[in-house]
Amino acid sequence: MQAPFIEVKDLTKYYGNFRAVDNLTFHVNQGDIYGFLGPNGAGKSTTLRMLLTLIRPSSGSIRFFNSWLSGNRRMILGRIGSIVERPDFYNYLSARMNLEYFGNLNERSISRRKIYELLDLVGLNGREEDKVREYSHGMKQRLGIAQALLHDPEIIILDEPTTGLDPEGIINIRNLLKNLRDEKAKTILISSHILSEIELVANSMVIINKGKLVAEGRISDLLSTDEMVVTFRCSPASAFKSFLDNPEIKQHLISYSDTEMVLKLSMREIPRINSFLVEKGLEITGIDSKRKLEDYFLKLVRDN
Amino acid sequence: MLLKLTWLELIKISRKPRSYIGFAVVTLIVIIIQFAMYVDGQSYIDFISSSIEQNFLFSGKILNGNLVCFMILQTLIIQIPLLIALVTGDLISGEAALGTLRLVLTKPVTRGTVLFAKFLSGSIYTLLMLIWLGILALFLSLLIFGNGDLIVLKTDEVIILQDGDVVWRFLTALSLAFLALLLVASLSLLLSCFADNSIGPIVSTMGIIILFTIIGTLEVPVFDHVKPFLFTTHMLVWRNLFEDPLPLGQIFLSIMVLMGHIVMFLLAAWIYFNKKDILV
Repeated sequence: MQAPFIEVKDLTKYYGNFRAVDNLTFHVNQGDIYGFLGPNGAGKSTTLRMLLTLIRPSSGSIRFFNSWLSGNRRMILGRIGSIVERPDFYNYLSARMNLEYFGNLNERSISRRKIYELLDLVGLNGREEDKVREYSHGMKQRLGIAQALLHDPEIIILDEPTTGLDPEGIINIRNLLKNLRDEKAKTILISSHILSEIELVANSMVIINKGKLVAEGRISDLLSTDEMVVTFRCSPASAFKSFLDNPEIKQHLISYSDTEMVLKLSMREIPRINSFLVEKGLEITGIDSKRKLEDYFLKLVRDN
Repeated sequence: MLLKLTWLELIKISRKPRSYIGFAVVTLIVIIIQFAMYVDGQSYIDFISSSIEQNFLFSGKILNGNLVCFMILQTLIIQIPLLIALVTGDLISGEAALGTLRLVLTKPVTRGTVLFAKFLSGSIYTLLMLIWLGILALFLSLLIFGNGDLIVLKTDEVIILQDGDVVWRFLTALSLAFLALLLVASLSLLLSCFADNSIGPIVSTMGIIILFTIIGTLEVPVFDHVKPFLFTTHMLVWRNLFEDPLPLGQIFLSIMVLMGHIVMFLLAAWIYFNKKDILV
């Protein structure tokens, strides 16, 4: 069995008496898009900063590529591309010069052609020579991703990469991440508090709250337990209205419209409710069951 | 990697408008002094020499390029450290404030390399500033006022240095001034490591230099025991180059003290910067 690409064990960080990260353990396998979830102040950025050697852990261990981070820092960082929090650049330099600068902080030099290719990839073609101070936040975010890809890294660590992007920008980044995993076999660790973003791109995740691990695993496994959000579609329209006060339905009801009724059910309750509706003469045209990550996340955070 | 990073740092310094403030101020001050001496220099010389003319008879051209250069250095050597701090105090903290330090330190370079590349680039900036000062103060003054013996008036003696014996003294004085300014650069770099904003280290460096200079110049007996230990006392070592005979022991001691401080400040900066958590 192949060793994980990233292995974090019992990672702890104190700021004075405050424990920002508390015995955190998780692992990221090669080829994963790994979601790192938590509400604001959960310890996500502190953890990512420890992974990137910006912050020293109080205790615990970090391994990349089966090598300890301490003692192999340069080798490991040379194989990682990252954005930590805001994508800050030298405002008085152009986008191209910024990438040339950061590209030169590596043993391998970067060609100008490669820089133009990356700027093109993130949709900044035509703005290469503009000073970064003229860039919007969204453009800086995209420049940050170009920067993270400079040396064709094996692991990409992105801290809230879609913050400040417009909907089209978010979709572009999402597609870019999937493309990097599927076509270039990159391993991606992405933190976010926008849970739907993680749900759409990641295959595994860890959820932390107050510095502690709440859950870790494959998203499909994590979501196969507990209650589901089930949408029933029926014909004719408005037929659901007569069932809204029925105790069997009312206790599970989340929302309804003319053609849809959304219920909160456990897996085994779905066929029973379906039979009940059919017996009452409704023609069910579709059932869509989904464990929303938001619900799961919010529940875990709340319970914790 | 160190040289590559130093070169990159120099490019960044060259792109920042504040890097040119020092050059502009030096140019302006030198030109103002030269203009003042050109227009009204003779009456100034007469005023200064009147107090000692009862004992000495001056002949020849007292107001010359060497004297003007000496006057410029006396004036500017106090201000230049402040101009240097404007750039070197910003080297780490400016990046922290901008947020780029975070990005730089996630790259495969050691923190020590980053720190020393910044110190080297700051040193090169300092050297360029001094070379510019030398060109303006010495060569431009010689061009405008011509060559001649340098008369140095001290409280209890008059030192006359032959014109052929002066240029090497100026060049050596500038070299010693460079060492003193490296101390300022290392101090401001150290303070820069502690801060996450640009202003703090710059103002702190200026404050320390001004405070030590004031203590060093106050003629109060209680400070007499402290003065030899103040680095600002030794930053004026370049003045010893214009004494005859040269106080070699004093010059050597000051060089050692300056170098000791530079090593100490850099070492402290390196230790602290290596352990620093980058939270901004």
